Amino acid sequence: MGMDQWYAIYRTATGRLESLGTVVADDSYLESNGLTKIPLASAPDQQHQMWDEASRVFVPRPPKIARDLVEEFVNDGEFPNVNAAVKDKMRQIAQRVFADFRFQ
Amino acid sequence: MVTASATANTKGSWAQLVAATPIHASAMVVMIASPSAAGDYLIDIGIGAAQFEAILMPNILYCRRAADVCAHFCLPIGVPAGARLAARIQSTSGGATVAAAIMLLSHGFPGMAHFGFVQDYGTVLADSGGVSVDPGATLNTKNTWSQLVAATVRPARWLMISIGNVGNNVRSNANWLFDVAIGPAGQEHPILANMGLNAFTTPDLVQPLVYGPFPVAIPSGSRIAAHAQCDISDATDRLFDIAVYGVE
Repeated sequence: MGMDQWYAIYRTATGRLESLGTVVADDSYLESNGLTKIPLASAPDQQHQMWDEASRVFVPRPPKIARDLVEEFVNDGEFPNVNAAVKDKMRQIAQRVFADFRFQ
Repeated sequence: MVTASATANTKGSWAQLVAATPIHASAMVVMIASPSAAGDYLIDIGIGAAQFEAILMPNILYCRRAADVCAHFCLPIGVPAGARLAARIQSTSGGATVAAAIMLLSHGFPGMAHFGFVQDYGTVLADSGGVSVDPGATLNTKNTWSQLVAATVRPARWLMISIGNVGNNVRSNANWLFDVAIGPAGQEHPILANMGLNAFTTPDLVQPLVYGPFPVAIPSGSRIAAHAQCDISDATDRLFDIAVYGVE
């Protein structure tokens, strides 16, 4: 399938991406249903790219920034006034206890 | 226990599940759990003597995150008595393990014939996942059809669907509805509609991991695609992976 030509099919009026594929409906069907077909340079990688309706091209997907609840805890405004070493010790304990659950 | 290769996304060695099955079976349920690392997995179930395993169920997509997750994959394929069954896995986490067990169903179900071949569509060996489905940034509106296969290589009488986590270890709360369709791009015809998925921040996993198998009549040469809607728009957390398995 690596050699197949991929197409993006989007709604002509809005740019909304309707389908991605190597097997595409007839042009007459697409046109009569308000759809436009454009060839893609390579197979779409939706894990790392997303469709931009305005420019009608794929753009990089923004990186995910996870909340770190441990950092929110130790940097909370009501966190006790302790020295840096104690604060870091509490951070380490919380990171160990909550493990992956610290990320949201 | 079955161990993945130390190299991520590379199949490990076959591990024997049973030396000789005790009964003739018309269906089997593969039960998978992982006590080890968070990751996405693809699991092969093989049949045959050691070093001569033939793949019976290819690339079953399974995922595990913060907590252990058990998933059951049931497919109506025949297994003769006396067969040796084995499993091998690959994972996004090198050296990860899964606990695998198989339940054989010997009496069949009314109206069910024996089938003998399972074909996976949409599995991606490079990242131990499936084809990513993007519900888009518009909430609760079905979005782009993602192609799982351009042309099925065999007819399918049953279709099982597996859901993957896209390598995402930190999920938001979210709900999805997804459809599976056949037909060319721009002219898809849903055959399985509005199946629900959800994710929560604690297990960090899109669930359920498996739907079906469903009785279908998909001819050879069919394009299969999936699309979804979601109630969040986060560019990463709205994604999920999908793979399907046709049984003939």
